[in-house]
Amino acid sequence: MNEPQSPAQRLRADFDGAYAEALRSPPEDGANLLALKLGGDPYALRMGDIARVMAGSVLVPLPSKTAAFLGLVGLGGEILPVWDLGSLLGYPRSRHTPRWLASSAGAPHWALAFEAFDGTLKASLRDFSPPYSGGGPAAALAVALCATGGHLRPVLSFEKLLQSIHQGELR
Amino acid sequence: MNEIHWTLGKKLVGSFAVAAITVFIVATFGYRSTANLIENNRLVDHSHEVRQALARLSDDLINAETGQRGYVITGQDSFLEPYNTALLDVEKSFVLVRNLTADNQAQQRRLDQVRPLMDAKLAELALPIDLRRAQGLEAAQKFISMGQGKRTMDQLRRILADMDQEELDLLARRNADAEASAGAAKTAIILGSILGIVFIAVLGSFISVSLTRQIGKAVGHIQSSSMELQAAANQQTTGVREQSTSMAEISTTTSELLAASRQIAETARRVAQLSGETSQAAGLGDQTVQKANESVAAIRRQTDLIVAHMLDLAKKSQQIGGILEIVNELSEQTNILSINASIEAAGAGETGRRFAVVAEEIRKLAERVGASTKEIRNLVEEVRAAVNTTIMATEGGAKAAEVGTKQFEALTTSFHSIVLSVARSAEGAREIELSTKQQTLAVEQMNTAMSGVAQATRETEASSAQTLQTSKELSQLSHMLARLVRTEVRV
Repeated sequence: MNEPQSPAQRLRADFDGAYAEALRSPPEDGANLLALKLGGDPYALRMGDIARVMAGSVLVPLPSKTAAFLGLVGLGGEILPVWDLGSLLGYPRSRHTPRWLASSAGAPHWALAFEAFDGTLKASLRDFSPPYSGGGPAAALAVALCATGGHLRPVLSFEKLLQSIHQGELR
Repeated sequence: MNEIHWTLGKKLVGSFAVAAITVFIVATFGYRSTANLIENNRLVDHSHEVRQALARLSDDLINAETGQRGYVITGQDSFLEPYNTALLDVEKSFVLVRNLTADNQAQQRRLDQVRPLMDAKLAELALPIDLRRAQGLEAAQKFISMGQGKRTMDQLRRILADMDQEELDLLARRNADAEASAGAAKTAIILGSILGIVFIAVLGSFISVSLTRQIGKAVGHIQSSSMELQAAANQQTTGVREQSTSMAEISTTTSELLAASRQIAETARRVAQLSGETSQAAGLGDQTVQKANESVAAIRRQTDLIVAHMLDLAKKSQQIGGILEIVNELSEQTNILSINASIEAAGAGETGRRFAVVAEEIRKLAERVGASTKEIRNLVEEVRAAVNTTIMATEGGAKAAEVGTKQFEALTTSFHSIVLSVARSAEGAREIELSTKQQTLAVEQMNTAMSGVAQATRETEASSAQTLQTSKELSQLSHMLARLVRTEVRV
């Protein structure tokens, strides 16, 4: 009865099905999240904190005593400082510059670089839980934990990451 | 001092040569002395003959005178017999004297004086006889008394006495020469004999010592050689016995070899027959191999065609991959744009909610396109991998086909060679058959020859025993000879 579909048939079915679904609005009590991966671990950024997402932008490196600082990038008509999100969270620095960039929506404008984009997520309030203490730098910088899409993702915020950068520079 | 190493023959020849020279010298001296003695004796005899002839001539004259006087006194003819006989002999005696003294000029001159005196005497003797016969005794006595006859006879006696004295002197000298020759001959014979005896004694002693030494050495060598010969004869006897045993074994083996050769000849005949059949089968197989070779060449051409098509397919798959990269990038950019659109819609507040829905749909569509692109890329990668695998397999097949073709060509060549070899083998088998027959004949001949050799070996064994016996006798003989030589050395 249910014969295995070929990839083309499955794609056709998904494509046709997408137009058959009813239009859905984002949940009132939820939030849109940008899912990403660092060193194979799932993380998320709140879409409301992001001004723009880019991939493969030209990054100009600058010398810095901070290993997480990568350089400057031109984004949306502005020159923004770029910080390596993995390094901020304690991951070892990769030899390659992260491909994906997300700029902050609030002032001051700056950008985070990360390795892999994992899509966008819609989460309701039920999916969020407070971060636990003693979980390392990622747990300390997370504002919440989101259990959706089969993963438990620490939800990061530009503000807290910026505070961490300042505290690190002060130290 | 270096010893002269002369051979036995040289020493003997040298010694006998020295002895012969000595004898020759002594004989030469003796001969010359004897010849002188004989010549002197002959001359002495000659002198005696001359004296006898002179005496006879004188006697003839006296006898003639005696007969004449008897007749004159008696007047009887019987008294004339000595006269008549003397008349006949006196001429002979004179001629004899002249001949015997022909080498003596002085005697010849005296005979020249005798001749007229003798003729006058004979004439003087004849005249009184005639007077006695014709006129009687007185006339004859008167004539004789005149003394003419006496004077002539005295002259004749004096001349004949001189001649006799001459001969006596010659006789004395010749006797002295004969005695001197005899003494020289005696001296030569005595001294030569003494020298010869001394030489021969010295040489005999030298030869004896030398020969004893040499023969002693030779006997020693003969002893050692005879012992070695005895040992060798022993070994030879043992070896010949072993050889005889071996020959018997060889003869047995040759008989077995003969049987085996006959069996081989029969087998070779069968092999030749089978080789002929194999040669025919190989000819058919060669034709089959030729056809198979053509089929392999066709497979190789088809394989090359497949490889070309697969390479073209790989190239197109690569082009599809390039296009998919572009599509993937487009979907990614579309996704980014949809995210940014969602962000912008969220910033627009309530008015942006419906735009956010559209942006979400666009994002979903982009994600689907991206997912589909990934799947297509995976499929294309699988196709490319399959194509690559197929190309490699096909190229491997092509190479295998090429190798197979070459191998098949080699096989064809080999098979052709095999056909030729089989033909040659068949020929060779026939030759082997012929050769084996000849070999069988040769083995039969060899068997016969081996029997002869075995017989000869047995005879050699007997001969070796005889040699051993002879060597033992030789050894005993050498011991005896050694004892003999040592005894002589002591002597």
